[in-house]
Order: sequence, then C-alpha cells, then structure tokens
Amino acid sequence: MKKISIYVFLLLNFLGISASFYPSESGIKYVPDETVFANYFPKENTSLILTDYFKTGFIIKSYFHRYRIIHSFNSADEQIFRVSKYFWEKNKKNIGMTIFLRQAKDVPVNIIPSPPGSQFVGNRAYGHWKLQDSGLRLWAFYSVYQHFPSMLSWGDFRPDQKFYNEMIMAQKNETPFYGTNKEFGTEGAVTLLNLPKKNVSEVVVLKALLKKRLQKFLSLPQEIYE
Amino acid sequence: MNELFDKLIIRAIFVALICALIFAYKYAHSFLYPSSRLQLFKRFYPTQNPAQTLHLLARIIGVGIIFSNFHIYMANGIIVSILDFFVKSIATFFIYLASIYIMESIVLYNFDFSDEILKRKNYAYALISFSMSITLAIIIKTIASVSRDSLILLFFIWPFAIVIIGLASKSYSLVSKLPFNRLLIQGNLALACSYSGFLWGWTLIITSSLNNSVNNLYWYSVQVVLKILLSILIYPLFKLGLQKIYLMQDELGDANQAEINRDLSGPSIGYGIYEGALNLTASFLTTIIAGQIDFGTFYPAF
Repeated sequence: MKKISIYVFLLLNFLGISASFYPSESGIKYVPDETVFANYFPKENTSLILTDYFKTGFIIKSYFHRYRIIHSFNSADEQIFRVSKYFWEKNKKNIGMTIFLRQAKDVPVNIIPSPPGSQFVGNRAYGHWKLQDSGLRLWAFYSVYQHFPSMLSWGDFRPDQKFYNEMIMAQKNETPFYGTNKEFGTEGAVTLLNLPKKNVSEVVVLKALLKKRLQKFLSLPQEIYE
Repeated sequence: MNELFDKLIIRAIFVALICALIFAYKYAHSFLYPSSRLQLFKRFYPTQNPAQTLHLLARIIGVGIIFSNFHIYMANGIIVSILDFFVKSIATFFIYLASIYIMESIVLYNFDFSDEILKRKNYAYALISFSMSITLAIIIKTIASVSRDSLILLFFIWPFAIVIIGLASKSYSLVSKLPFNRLLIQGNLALACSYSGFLWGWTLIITSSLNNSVNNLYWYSVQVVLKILLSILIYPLFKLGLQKIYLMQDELGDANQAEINRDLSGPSIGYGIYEGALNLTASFLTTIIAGQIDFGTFYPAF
C-alpha cells in the first residue's frame, strides 16, 4: 500500500510539473463552443473563418480548429484553438464558413455559420452590385478592397443578389446558409477549390508509410549509394 | 492535459510491448538453447543456484542493453512506430542469440551448460558466460546503431563483427598465462576475472572501431580493420606502461607453463583481478589513442 501511495504521489508530481511547463498548455486557447469567441474578440468588424480542423493524440484525443481572423482594415491573421469534441464534430461541415461575426460593439454577435465575407456583401461601404452582360447583378468590392475575395477564399466566385437575399433570410431565421448552390462549407465547390482539405484516407497514408519503412529496412542507407 | 495523459498512455503501451517482446525472446531463447528450457520455464529462485542466477540474468541484462539503443519515432503514427520497433527488435534478438551461440561454440566448446551450471554450479563458467552475454549485447547495440534501420547493413556488419570478436577471443593465450580449459573445469575464479577483463577490453576496442558512419562499405571495412590493428599495436604499450608505473609484479609471468599446470589449486583470484583490470584499463586507454584523436586541419590537405 505504501509503495502504491508513493507511486501515485510521484505520478501526480510528474503530471503537475509537466503541465506547468508544457508549452502548448499555455499557448493555445480553449474553446468549448462558439459563444466564447465573443470574449476573445471584443473589437468590431471581426469575423472568424474556419479554415481547417484536425485532432491529435492516440487514445485521449485533442481537437483543434484553425481560423482565419478577418478584420476590415487590417490584414488577416491565422490562429489555432483547442476546441471541445462537441464543437469540433458540430463544425465538421463548416470549413470555409464564418463561425463567428462581430459587426459592431453594440450589436449582438452572430454565431450561426454563414458564408465568408457575409458582413461585406450588400454593404455599400465595401462595394456595389455590378450589372453583368448576362443580366445578373454580382457583388464587386471597391478597388481598395480588391484583396478581399482572395482573403475570403472566394477564388472567382462572386455572390449575386439571389445569394444575398437567401443569406439575409437565413440570418433572420438563424439557420446556417451554405450558398444558393451549396458553394461553401466543407463539401462546397468554392471551398474545395480554394481551401482544399487534404482528404486522403488514413489507410492509404498508413499503407504508404509502411511500404516506405519496409523499403528502408530492406535497403542500404542513401549515403552509401551516393 | 490531454496530450500529457495521452503521452503517458503511449509510454505505458510501449512498456507493455517491450515486455511482450522480452516474453517472445524467452521462447526464442529456449528454441536455440533446448538445454536451458527447464531453466526458463520453471519457477526461478535466485538464491538456489547463484551460478544459474548469474547466467540467466546476464541474458536479461543483454536484452536491456540492446533495447536501450532503440528510438521510437511517433511522427508517422503509432502503427508505423510499433512495426518499426517490432522489426528492429526481432532482427537484433535473432543476431544476439545467434552471436551467443557462435561465441559459446568458439570459447566454451568443451563445456556443457547443464553440466557446468545446473550440476556443478561452476561460478567461473557463469561469470565468463555473464561477460560474454553483456559484451555481445554491447557489440550488437553498436552494430544496430551503425546500420541505421537497414537490415541489409545490419546483416553485413554483424558477421564481420562476429569474425573479429571470434578471432579476438582466441588470442587469450597470447595475453595470459592462465590455461583456459583446465582452470575453467576447476571453476577457478581467477580465470573468470582475467577472461572477463580480456573480453570487456576487446569489446571496447571493437565497438570503438565499429562505431563509424557507413558511407561506403569497402572503406568502412578497411577503417574498422585498420583501427583494430592500430589498437593491437597500442594496447601492449599501455599494458607495459601500467605494469611499470605501479611496479606490478607478474608472479606467474616468471613461472613456466609446466609449473602453472602442476599447481593444482590454481592461481589466486588476485592474479585474475590483476590481469582483468590491466586488460580493461589498457583497452580503455587504447581507444583514446586509436579512435579519439581528431587531427582536424593539423595536416592541411593540398
């Protein structure tokens, strides 16, 4: 019993000391759900686009989200957050989508997934509707904001008025909106083109790695051939 | 904390894997040494036969020494790292057991394990076997490290090293006046100490010679042979120097072989310790001169 107590005591000491000095424990913020973002991002005109998700660990998994933080008048930042499993699973379909949006200090934040840059579309301060030869009106940013489409990972996509109207309707109904033809989200055509998630099967990767390791075992080190 | 706990669990998994591999090694050992099957599979009481304890634990220490060389790279995932570990373990276990078998056939060809250890409790035999197991483990560890995950390189360097240690073990009669076979039958501890020191000394020289990076197999072999030849040239100088500095009197050195053979009690253990320690120290010092002088740009290349 005494030996077990000493063992447990040493184990707790190890965990305690490791946790205190573990770099990632202090560097990455934890997000249990989207409501927490309001505390982390108090400034107006800020939105978070989910650009990637991944998990680490063997038995006890850690879940992570990578976000692009969009400010209207500053360049975009990238930030990784450790998230809860619930939040991670909930947003598996939302790559390329805005997960958090704060337009003004007094206005309530929007945490319903919406297409990236939804705060700019239809806002006369950032652009205008431009009539195309086809008769469609597409959103065009002013030249000072011409980098926005690439920052928002739109590629060649430009929203039309139908897209805008459906987006406004979804915002009023507080339902996620992935685009008129589901252009955004993990499976959306625009996202797949501009924010491709490396969807390589784990089995394929494992097979390739095993093959590589076996080849290494059964061959001479590279330097000997050179 | 997730990562910390997960890392702790992964470490625990590798502890279990190593234990499983040692269990597999136990079976492999019993296949190669059928005479030790009884020793391995019945309950073991360390105090009943200390010679057997020494013999058995030497193999276990050997396995520990070999494992201490392994590195586990987790970047490619746990399955790949387990496979890596498994393949390397099996290969090194195989060559370790084969090395022990070959060395015992060379050095202890006149003796049988069950006679010497189980029946006669021959401590000298146990001590020599102990030294052999550990020195071979150190050599295998060096070979595994030099061959850098390549089984082909491992199986090239291993026979090379075994030939060297096999030849080296036969040179005992050149450095010592103790008659090996006769004293080992008597269970003389002086012989065991002397031979252990001799074996440890050779191991130091061989591992120091083998421990070069392999960029070209031909040049690697030449380099190893040259280093060993250089060590053979330097070793007697240190041995002589140590004897002169500490005014050590080799009592058996003046006696002729016939007189030594007539002495039924055999030499005292002090003589064995003297020879063993002298061999070991001379080998340690030899490795400095043969392998640890870096000339750098002392002789500029033109």
